[in-house]
Amino acid sequence: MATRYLITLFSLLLTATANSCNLNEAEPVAANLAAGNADEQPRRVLLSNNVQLELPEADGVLKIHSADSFMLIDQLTDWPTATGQISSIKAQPVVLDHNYDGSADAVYVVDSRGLLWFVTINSRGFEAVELLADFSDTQARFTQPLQLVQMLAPHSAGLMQQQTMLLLTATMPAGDLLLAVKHQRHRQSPLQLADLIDRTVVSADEQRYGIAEQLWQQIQQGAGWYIQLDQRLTAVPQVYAGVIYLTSAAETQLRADCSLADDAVSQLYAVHLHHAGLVYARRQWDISAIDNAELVLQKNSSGELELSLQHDQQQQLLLTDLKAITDECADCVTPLTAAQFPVTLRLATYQTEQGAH
Amino acid sequence: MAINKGMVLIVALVFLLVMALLVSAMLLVSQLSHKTAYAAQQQLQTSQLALKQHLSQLTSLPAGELPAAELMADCPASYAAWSGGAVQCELLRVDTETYSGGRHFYAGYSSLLLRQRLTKEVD
Repeated sequence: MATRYLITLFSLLLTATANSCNLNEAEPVAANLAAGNADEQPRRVLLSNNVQLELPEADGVLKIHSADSFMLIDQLTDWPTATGQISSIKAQPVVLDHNYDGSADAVYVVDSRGLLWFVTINSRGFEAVELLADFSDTQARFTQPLQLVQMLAPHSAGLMQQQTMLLLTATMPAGDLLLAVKHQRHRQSPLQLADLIDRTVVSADEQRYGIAEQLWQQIQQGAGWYIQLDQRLTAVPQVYAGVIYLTSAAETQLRADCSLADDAVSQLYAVHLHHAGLVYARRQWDISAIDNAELVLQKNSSGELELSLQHDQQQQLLLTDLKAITDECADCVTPLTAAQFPVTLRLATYQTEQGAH
Repeated sequence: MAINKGMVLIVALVFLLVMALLVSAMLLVSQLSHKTAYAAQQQLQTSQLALKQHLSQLTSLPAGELPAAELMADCPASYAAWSGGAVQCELLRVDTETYSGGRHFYAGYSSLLLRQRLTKEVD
């Protein structure tokens, strides 16, 4: 028992001293709170975690303040755990608008030990708290921002189903762990890392022939996947047309302020959102990066789309000839061009009937 | 005898009158039913034409220029999903109206469109 505590302490010390970039935004997350009745307008609110409340070492707390007056609307300090407490929340939470009405329906929060919570929100504040996943056995620190992707994914018999996928980054001594977790409603017990599919290594067969049908089926029915990187993330991962892009650098080449050493070589990962497989000829390749930059997708002067890293006035081109995934098959891709935008989709056509003849 | 002859004539005339009335009523009814039958057909034709015009207008629209009815906070879920903030979605409504030649018949179609554009564009 004592040795286990020692190992935990040692790994915590190791991760605490490790250089990694803090990719969270300094400001609280803004959201709209649904109106209490039909006459009212939705309220603009701010969601603050331990970092914004300047309580970094305290137990996990989440507060909703009014964006106009900064008046406290609701707070969450009592969590459904044995002690009623969780570790400090340092990762930026993410808001879910499930019915697209512009108001927050729920918020996903992860504490620094890896407990992932789903907290429903109503017009008065926090409503119900549910533990979605418990990654505390990884001994990793979860301090990087949570991200949410609403997607349609093949579920069973080729039918598409709307799913909410959460992207988490865990800081481990060996490197960062990228987790993609599907929010499965009516699940009996919280998810654990063992429930996710390990996609760290893409086999030679998969690189040549695409993902195996059996694995693809397994992923469709599974709860998500993870990739163990041997490096640290240097920019917030972005999902563009079903491809997750992220940049990373070796920990030894990162300085404490997240700037890169002079001879640093960064890597760009392009990962399939649904199965973490290949989208381009390779899943990762070397790039030259700039410090504290963020990933952006934009149209260049000649009207083509390109992926680049941007920081203040500096810009570094990473990739042109971008690709989008398509649902025709597990590995199908199509070029993503600027000419496609704006994309127009017909949602419904209906006939108006007036009077009677 | 002369009275009998007169009665026959009157009865014959009345009979002819009744027959004429019957025939003309039947003619009118059949004409009306033809008209009603044709009306339904013409309404169908008009609405079919309206749908055709509506759909052809949808494909030929300068989609980037239409005014948006509503800006969505999040884009709807899709297979090739995007992270929040990378794309912006708007809802638009397109209405078309079609009248038949004599303006007796009318058909109107409306469509809800979703327009998705990139938030970061360099011009």
